[in-house]
Amino acid sequence: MTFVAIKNLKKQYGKNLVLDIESLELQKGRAYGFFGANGSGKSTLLKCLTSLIDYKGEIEIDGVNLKKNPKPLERIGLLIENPAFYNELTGRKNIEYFCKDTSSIDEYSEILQVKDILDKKYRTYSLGMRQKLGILLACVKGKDLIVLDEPFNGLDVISVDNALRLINHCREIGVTVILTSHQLDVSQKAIDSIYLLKNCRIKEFIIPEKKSGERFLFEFANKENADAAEKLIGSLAVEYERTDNIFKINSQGKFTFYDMIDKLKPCEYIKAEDITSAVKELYLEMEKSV
Amino acid sequence: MIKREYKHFFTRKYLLFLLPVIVFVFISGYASLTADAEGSVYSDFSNYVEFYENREELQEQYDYYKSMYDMGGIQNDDMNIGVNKEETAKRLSILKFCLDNNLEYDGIIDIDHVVAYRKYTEFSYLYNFGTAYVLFAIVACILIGGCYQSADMVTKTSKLVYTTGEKRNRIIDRKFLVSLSGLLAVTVVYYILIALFSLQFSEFTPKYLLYFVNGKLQVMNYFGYFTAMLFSQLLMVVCTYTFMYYFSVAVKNIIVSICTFFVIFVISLFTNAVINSPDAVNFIGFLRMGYMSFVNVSSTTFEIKYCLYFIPIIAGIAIMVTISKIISSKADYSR
Repeated sequence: MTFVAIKNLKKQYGKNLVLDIESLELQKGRAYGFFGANGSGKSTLLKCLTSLIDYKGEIEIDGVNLKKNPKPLERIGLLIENPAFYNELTGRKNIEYFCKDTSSIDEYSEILQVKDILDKKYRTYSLGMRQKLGILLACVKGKDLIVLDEPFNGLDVISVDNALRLINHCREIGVTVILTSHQLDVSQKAIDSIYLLKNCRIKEFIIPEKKSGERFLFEFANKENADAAEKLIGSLAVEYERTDNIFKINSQGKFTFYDMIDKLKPCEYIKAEDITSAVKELYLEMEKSV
Repeated sequence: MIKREYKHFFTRKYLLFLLPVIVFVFISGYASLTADAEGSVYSDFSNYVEFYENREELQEQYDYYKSMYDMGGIQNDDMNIGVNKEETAKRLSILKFCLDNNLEYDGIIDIDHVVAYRKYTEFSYLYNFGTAYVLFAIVACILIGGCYQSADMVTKTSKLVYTTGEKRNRIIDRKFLVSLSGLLAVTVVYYILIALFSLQFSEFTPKYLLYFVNGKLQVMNYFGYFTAMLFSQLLMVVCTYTFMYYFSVAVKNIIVSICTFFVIFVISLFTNAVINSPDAVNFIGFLRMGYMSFVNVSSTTFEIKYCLYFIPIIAGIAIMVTISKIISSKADYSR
């Protein structure tokens, strides 16, 4: 079911056209990642989606034209660029100020592990804490749509993991998620589809069905070892690509990464990597093809 | 949303701008305790009313001037040089009022000379501290009006404030109404307090203010004077704050909006100091914030032509509000 529909969206700053999207439809309950070089228009797109800036064209959220009726924004949670809250209020009071329905605040703060800082004044927060509060507000407020612009900035590894869990949880309960990030390897764990923004236009690529441990990369020291590995891989009836001494193997779920390591150990590989849904590679390929 | 907005307004940041009013209250209270309420008898109607000790003397005075009026007024009299029929009529109306109400000599005061030079009265106390409040009110209007909406642009909380599902101008208007009502409430409370402080002078005070509108005698008691002062003060706050608030919405910059308004304020004070001619004052009435003088309730306050000076003020405010609404509907609130 189409939840977000964009038609003939154009945004210009002076004579500079930064966004030109003829048509874009996003489905309910799915997560979309928008990627592109710096200045490609990712943040501009999110700002148009949330009516923070003026634009030409139409954006409909759940069938409602945002320009005529901003009511859908009530159920859209957003984190655009750096988070910004009122210094004199606590984290909780800030969320209560900007969000009507805060019923999920306790549950989500548990997932994000920010419960202990919620009742402290915002001015005492570090950069990472502020970012986490921004994500929390977006998820608490975003009952229909969550818009996140570079949500993982300034977060440590554990916090990133918690944020991903929260985003995935929201997606599972039917919330549409849109995020932009330069951290492709992290973002891939939360998104279903990638959109690439280039030359102010957009192109969609679907990430293949993700299963952990499906695509692997092995590199061998020399041609002999690589030839021996090729015979072995062939006997396993899995798809693979060979470039010199490097193999990209798609096990199609038949073998886990550790299974492949065991099987190829005799061939003395020098490098082994799980590259399942490696968005970075996909992104680089897309960049070349567009 | 309104409740949240009031909570946001009455935070430490904005209460700081309103704090000086507490200082004003203390000063006015202290002044009321230390003022010399008793003193010599006075009257500022000496041009119209000569001193009398009792009703009989008052009646004599009235009879004398009645006969003068019937003869066509007084010309080149030693005591009242240049008094003509119109002036005699005014004198008679004042004397008649005193007779009808059995007033003592210091029972009346000219509205244009409320400030006493020998003693405090209810009226002069209210005048002194009511008009002094104007300065605080203007500064509070400029600072709060310049900051309240624009602060969201500076702190970038505008990204969240304007994505709550309501139309932008509705959010802006709500913020305006909440902050304005807060300012008006503070003004009313202050005026009530100084009115209460002034009551301790009631024993020594005149009972009525008198003034003439189109030659006809008008009378106002203390409650009427209080109401008029309060109303004109509230009007001044509404006009100043509305203009300042929507100006800052259009400019989207705290520093620019506050500095611009202070410059206008200083220019108005300067022109007020150097231009003495009523015609010049009338001509540039809006620029010099001519409506400030409305706070000082005087005989001219009730003349129609004086009220007409509000027209350019209201027109200017309406234009400012319209421009700011157009600008805000297209503005970038993401930065």
